[in-house]
This record gives sequence, C-alpha cells and structure tokens, in this order.
Amino acid sequence: MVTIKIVNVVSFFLGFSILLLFTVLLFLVAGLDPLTSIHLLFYYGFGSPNYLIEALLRSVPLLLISLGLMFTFIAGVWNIGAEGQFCIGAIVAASIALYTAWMPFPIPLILATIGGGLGGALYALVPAYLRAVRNINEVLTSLMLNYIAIYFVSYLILGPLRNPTTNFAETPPIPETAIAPRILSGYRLNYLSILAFTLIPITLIVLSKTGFGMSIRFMGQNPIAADFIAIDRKRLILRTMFISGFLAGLAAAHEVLGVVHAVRQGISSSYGYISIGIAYFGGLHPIGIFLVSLLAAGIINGTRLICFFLGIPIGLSDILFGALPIFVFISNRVVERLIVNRLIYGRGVQ
Amino acid sequence: MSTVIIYDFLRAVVRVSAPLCYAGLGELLVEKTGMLNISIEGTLWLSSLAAFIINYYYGNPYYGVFVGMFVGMLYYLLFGLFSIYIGLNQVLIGVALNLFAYGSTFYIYRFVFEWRERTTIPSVKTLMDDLRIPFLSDAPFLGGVLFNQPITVYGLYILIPLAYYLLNKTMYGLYITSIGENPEASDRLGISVFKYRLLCLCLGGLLVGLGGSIFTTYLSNIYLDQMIAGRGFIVIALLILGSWTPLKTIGAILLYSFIEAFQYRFQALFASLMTFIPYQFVLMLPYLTTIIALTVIGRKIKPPAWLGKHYTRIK
Repeated sequence: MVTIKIVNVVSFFLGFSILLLFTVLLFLVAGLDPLTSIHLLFYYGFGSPNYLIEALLRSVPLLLISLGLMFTFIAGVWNIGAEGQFCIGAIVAASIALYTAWMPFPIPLILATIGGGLGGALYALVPAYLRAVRNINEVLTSLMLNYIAIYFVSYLILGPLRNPTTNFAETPPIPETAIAPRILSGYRLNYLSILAFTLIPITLIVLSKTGFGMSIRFMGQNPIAADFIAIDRKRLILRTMFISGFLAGLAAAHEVLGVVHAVRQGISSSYGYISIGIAYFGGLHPIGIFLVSLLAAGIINGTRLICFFLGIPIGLSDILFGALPIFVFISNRVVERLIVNRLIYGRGVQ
Repeated sequence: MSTVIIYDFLRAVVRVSAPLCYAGLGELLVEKTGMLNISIEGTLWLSSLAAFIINYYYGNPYYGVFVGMFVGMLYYLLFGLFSIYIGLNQVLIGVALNLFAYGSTFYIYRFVFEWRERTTIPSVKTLMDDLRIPFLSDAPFLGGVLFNQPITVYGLYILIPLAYYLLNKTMYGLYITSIGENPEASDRLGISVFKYRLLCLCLGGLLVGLGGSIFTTYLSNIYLDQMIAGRGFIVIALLILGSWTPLKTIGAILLYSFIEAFQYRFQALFASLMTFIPYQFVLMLPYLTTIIALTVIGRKIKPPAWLGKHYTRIK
C-alpha cells in the first residue's frame, strides 16, 4: 500500500516552521514588521473565502503537474521537463481553441483540453523514448527540452500567433466557445478545476489497486529485480512519462482555458520546477500532494499580494520555494537520526 | 575593411566564450566525479550579481571577480553539503538551489540598489581592461585576437591544458574518473570519494563563479535579471556534446560562441536572414543540437556511469 510516514510529516512541518523563521528574517531585512507581514502572508493566502478559492484555483496546475510527476518519481524516472511539457500543452490548447472557434460550445473546449494534454504527453515521450530505448539520462534531455519549448512558445507568441491588437507578447484571447465555464459567478474556479480534483482519488486507486501501480513501485524500488519478474521497464518508462506529460499539458489547458484566457510570456511561472518539490514533499501520495500543493498555492498568492502591497520585490516566492526543500530535508535528517534512531530505537548517529 | 570586421568578430568570439569556458571546465570537474549539479545556472546568477555589487561599491572589477569566485565556491559547497552529506537527490536539490538563486538575486539586487528611490539603472564605470601582451600581440592577425584580451582569457590558456593534463595524464585525473564511473569500487581501493568530490566541488565552484563574474565585470557594465538566461544549462548541453572531455567541451563552447557572436554582430548585416531564422531558434540551437546528437550518436557519448546517483558508503 501507499503510505505516508509520520516522520516525514513531522519533518515537513518542522522544516516549514524553520522556513517561516527564515521569512521573518527576510521581512526584517526589508525593514517591515515581521509579525504583521507573516499574518498578511497567510491572510492573503487563505484568510477569506475569496482568497481560499483563489488558492484552490492556483493549486490546480501545481496539483496536476505533481500528480503526474508522482508516477515518474515512483518509477524512478526523473522527469524535470514538466516546465516544457506545460508550455507545449499551453500553446497546443490555445491554438486548437483559436482554430476551432466556429464549432458549438463544448466541442472546442473538450478538443482543446484533450489536445493540450496530448501535446504535453507527446513532448514527454521524447525524453522517455531516449531513456527507454537509447538509455540516455532523462534528467539531461528533459532539461534541454524545457528550454526548447520555452523558446518555441516565445517564438510563436511573438510571431505567427501574436495578438495583432495589443502590444504585449501574447496570443489572441481564447474565444468564448472554448472557455471553461465558471462554477460560481465572481470566482475564477471553473469546471476544469473540478476535473483536476477528481483525479486525486483516481490516481490513488491507480497507484494502490492496479497492476500498473504495483509494477511502477516495484520498478522504482528495485529495477534489476523488476527484470526478473518480467516487468517491461521500457514500456513502463514510456507510460509513466506519457501520464506525466499528459497531466502537465492538462494543467496548462486549465491555465489557458480557465484562468488566463490567452498564452502569455511566462505563463508557467516555474510551476514545473516548484511541482518537483511538491510531488516529493507530498510523500509521493495523491492526498499528501493535494495538501502540499494547496499550501504552496496559498503561499504563492500570499507572497504575490504582500509583495504588491508592502512594496517588496517579487522574488520572494522563488526564494521560499528554493529554501523549503533545504529546510525540510535538513529537519528530516535531524528527526530521523537524532530523535527516531537515538531516542526511540536507542541507536547512535551513523 | 572586411579584415577589420572579421578581426573584431573573432575577438568577440573569444570574449563571449571565456565565461562559458570557465563554467564548462568547472562543471566538467564536478560531473566527472559523478555529481550532476544543475544549480550551475543559479551559481552563475549569484556570482554575477555578487561581482557586480562589489565592483559597484569598490570600483575595482578584480575584487568583484574574487568575490564572485568565492560565492560560486560557497554555492557549490552548499550543493555538496546536501548531496554528499545529507544525501538528497541531486536533481531535486539542484532545482531548489536554482529557484533560490533566481529569487534571491531578484530580491538582493533591488534592495542593494534601493529600487524605489532610483530612477536610473545602476551601472559601473570600471570594467576589466584589455591587456596587450607585448610581442605576441604583434603577430599577424591572430596575435591581436588571442593576445589583446582581459586577464581572464589568458587564465584560460593556462587552465585548458592544465585541465587536460590533470584529467588525462595524472593519478588524480584517474581517481576522479574512477569515482564518477564507480564510487563503490573506488572507495574499496582506498580513494576517498567524499574528499575528492568536495575538492572538485571547491575547484569547480571557483571556476563557475569566475565565469559568472566575467558577465558583469567585463562583458556588460549593468546587471540585468535575465542576464544569464539559461547559459548554465547551455554549458551542461555543451558538456554533453563534448562527451565529458575537456578539449571537446572547449571545442563545443567555441562553436556555440561563434554562433552567438555571429548573431550579435551580423544582426543588421543579415537582417533578411534573421527574419527568416528568428532569434529564438538561435537560442534553441545548443539544446536542439544536443538532443539530436544524443539521438543520432548517443552510443558514443558516454556520461560518467554514476552521474546524478547518490553514493553512500557501504555499512
């Protein structure tokens, strides 16, 4: 079964508290009152129904990407190309939406959503193929493909797909027929977001109840033994990467069709990179990932708003997400080695 | 007339390639020991900013370079602390350190230069000077290209043969390669894996920091947030193309610098060509070439066998 270890949960919260202390330090450097600023950070993150729904909305791309990454990480495949898959998914979804605008309402939306997912998935198949068939390190290739995708999208939105009526580097707005309808008027949460949340139980079932989930866990833990019980590793690498890319593309479709309604420069504000940490800290478990991505989304929203209102440079959320893994891992080691090993089992520090 | 243009162009190639060569050699040393440090990008960002700040306040680019090197070393050692001693996944910690560097350079730059009050972009007046070497620079044509450059370029003339010699002809090079290929076996033979990895991280960090600081102490007199723009990853790509050997890597870097300098120099000259091939495709080129090369001759490009894997001592 898929489980979450208590040690990891404890160390995550310990690391998170150290991160908050670090944030206090940053606020002090900026010459702000730290307690008010921390309060505002959480208020803008989760404080009112409006902000909470915004956090839910922001958590959707993070959730989708990290659910996809979860499969690859469990299988021991290090896909760090989610950023590129997201970009390709976004541009494919937008172009399908733009070129099928003449069809009646739900058809362009459905086509664009699936197309975005497939775009990301096909893009993810490139490093997957190279890893599975040629045995080339997928970290290197997916990293390279990120930049290829970013420049390609940048070319498209400055060139052929540019909106002729504005000065910004963006595509024309998504036509009405392809926009995901909102659930509550006044809030940006839409039906594609609901689709994302239904994926949590689905991935949980796939992971814990199916042969596929079983074999990827087996493969991740012992790839050589996986060969002996005739697990087709090549096929599993291709499949997990396909799922990962598909979900990244879906996340992009959600952003394009549900939230931004266009593709802009920097549409993926390093979601692909942040999600790597989220997948890992969610304990590679769908529910853990959901909680962590909600927390992360609240922090992103909170930092953006306090940066805007208190006049701090917006680099804060990147700093926090860079520092979070560092603190969490240090506290994980401290908890494991000092408390669990020494106090509970009476073993010394190795 | 045309010789002057070509002369200028070749000097620009050497100039553009210098920081990449340093970063490439530094990262090569680290990857040879089996550590995949993708936080090279963040290291370049941080060291270029550090060099810029020091140069701005002390008015001496060489101080900036020294501090940049030091910052590079510290950031590489931070990576080493997490990957070697705490045992984190190298990819994860690399991505995290990159994000941290993106955010903190953005933050620090704005605080150091009081972004709210300032109306002009801070710029430095002191950049590294070109040093003309008396007799060699008088040699026809290439003399001026190779020997009328800042001191950092001359450092490379010593460093490249040294790196080649160190990695291919000495015992230490053999140790480093064996650690990258199989740390377990190396450890059993009595080679201290952790010591050599830390040593390579120190040296590599110094070189990458030096490469990063050249951007703001020689190439440009202002600092921009998007200045490095993925050059760290380009270095990793070129390292793959150079199949982890010093000379081939330098060759790949020179080839890339040739294209980059060509693009800057002749943008106006070949305007029609540039509209035909947008600049994004030029930026894409090193990545595309790497992917294609890996697909076509992937079997010949062999990374260190333990690249990116964690190693703990057998208990």
